[in-house]
Amino acid sequence: MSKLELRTFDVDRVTFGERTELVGRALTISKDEIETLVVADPAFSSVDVQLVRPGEAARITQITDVVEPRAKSSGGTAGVFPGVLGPVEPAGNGRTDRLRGVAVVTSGEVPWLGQKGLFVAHDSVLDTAGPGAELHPYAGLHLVVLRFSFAPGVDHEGYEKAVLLAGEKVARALALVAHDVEPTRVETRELARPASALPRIVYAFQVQSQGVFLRSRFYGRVLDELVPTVVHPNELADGALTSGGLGGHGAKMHTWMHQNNAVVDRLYAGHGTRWDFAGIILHRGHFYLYEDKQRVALRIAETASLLGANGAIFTLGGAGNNTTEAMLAIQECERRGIKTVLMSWEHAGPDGSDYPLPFAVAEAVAIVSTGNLDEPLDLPAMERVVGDPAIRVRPEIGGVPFPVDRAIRLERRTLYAGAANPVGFGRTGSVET
Amino acid sequence: MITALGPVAADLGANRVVRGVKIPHPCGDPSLDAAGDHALRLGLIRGSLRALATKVGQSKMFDGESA
Repeated sequence: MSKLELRTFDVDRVTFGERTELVGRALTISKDEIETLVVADPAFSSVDVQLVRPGEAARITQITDVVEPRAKSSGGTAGVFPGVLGPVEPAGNGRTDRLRGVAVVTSGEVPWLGQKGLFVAHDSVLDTAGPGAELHPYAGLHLVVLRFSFAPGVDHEGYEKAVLLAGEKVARALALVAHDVEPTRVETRELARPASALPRIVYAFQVQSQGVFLRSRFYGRVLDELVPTVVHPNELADGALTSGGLGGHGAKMHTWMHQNNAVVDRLYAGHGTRWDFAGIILHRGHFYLYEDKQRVALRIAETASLLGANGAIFTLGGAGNNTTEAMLAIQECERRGIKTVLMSWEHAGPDGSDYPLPFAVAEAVAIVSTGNLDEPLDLPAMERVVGDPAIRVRPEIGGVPFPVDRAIRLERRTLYAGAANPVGFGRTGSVET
Repeated sequence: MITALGPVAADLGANRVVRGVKIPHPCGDPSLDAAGDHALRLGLIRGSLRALATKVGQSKMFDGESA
């Protein structure tokens, strides 16, 4: 069984300097080293590196991913982000170093190449102060923002892969300098079976993977045709699951959210004392046939039964018809006596009074709201815009410029990174009236 | 109702449900050539007309017909 020693290095100061190093809790970053790491990719013409302080009145535009710096400090040749940065090797064992208090943010205006609709890179914004800072987990962190300019002659697949690789390369490079430093704390993560009988809980974790710019990778492989599969939570800690999603920003999961999945952290915290964490059933929604949705539901319920689960926690990946897979799985689990709870965004209309989900079953009796995607969001002007002063909205008609260097009103929250993320990061939710 | 999510439509109370192709294109199939797609769509319309001409109580699922 997997056993991971997770070494946390708190970082409370980040500056640029001659070389990348960690001294105590102060991280120095060499701009040159970062540029050399990423700019060799033919998808980029240049990269600009900027730092955003915790709570700074900044608005970052066109975020493509957020990644926590992590690296392996032991465990043979296995590295973080297996299948993306290195060979496919077992993840979740040995020793992993992570820098806490700092995150790598990749961003830039990914070219649309004359296309429009769902499968172009949708633009987004993220504020690190004001009301928007409450909605995501990043405002309290030092953000290392990589701002890419894209080279011509590359297709969408190439751009998607390039931004994914760049964020992970830099995240690994920053964490590698922690190797000889004393960690702030060390925790061991393993799923040893408890001595006494406790409720056995699985996490039915749905990820979004629908095609280019809207997908996740597991050990580097896209999950567009994923049949539900069992995953050890330690694999997520080592970056086996990565995000390539550049659409539906309000409900999406960044790689940072996979590395730090709040449901996984909470299930680990109570493992052996309050419950028995049985593992993760990774699955995807958005299948186009009812039969495919039913297959997902049956596989989840059958797998949960085989794992001996008494309860299952569901979270959604993306928004829309993916609720069908989750709801059918909830129905099938409940019929087998496995209690369920769903964490979900709502499409409840601007004032929250509409029917909140595209599909539901009577068996879904416990649902936790992570926020209403349809509620308008008023954001004040920020002192600093990191990125372009305007973003592209309405990709379905080929794009309309939307200035963000001023106070803005987002009619819906799909443009705001992490606004109603499915795992409950941020201070948002709903009140039943 | 023509839909790729027949059981969902039935749960919501639709009484005549015709099995559509896929969620993004219930009434056609972009993987077929023009003639094949036309035949498919004609069959869906014929199946729908047959559904309308059928007396139903509870929700009933219909298929398209061959054109």
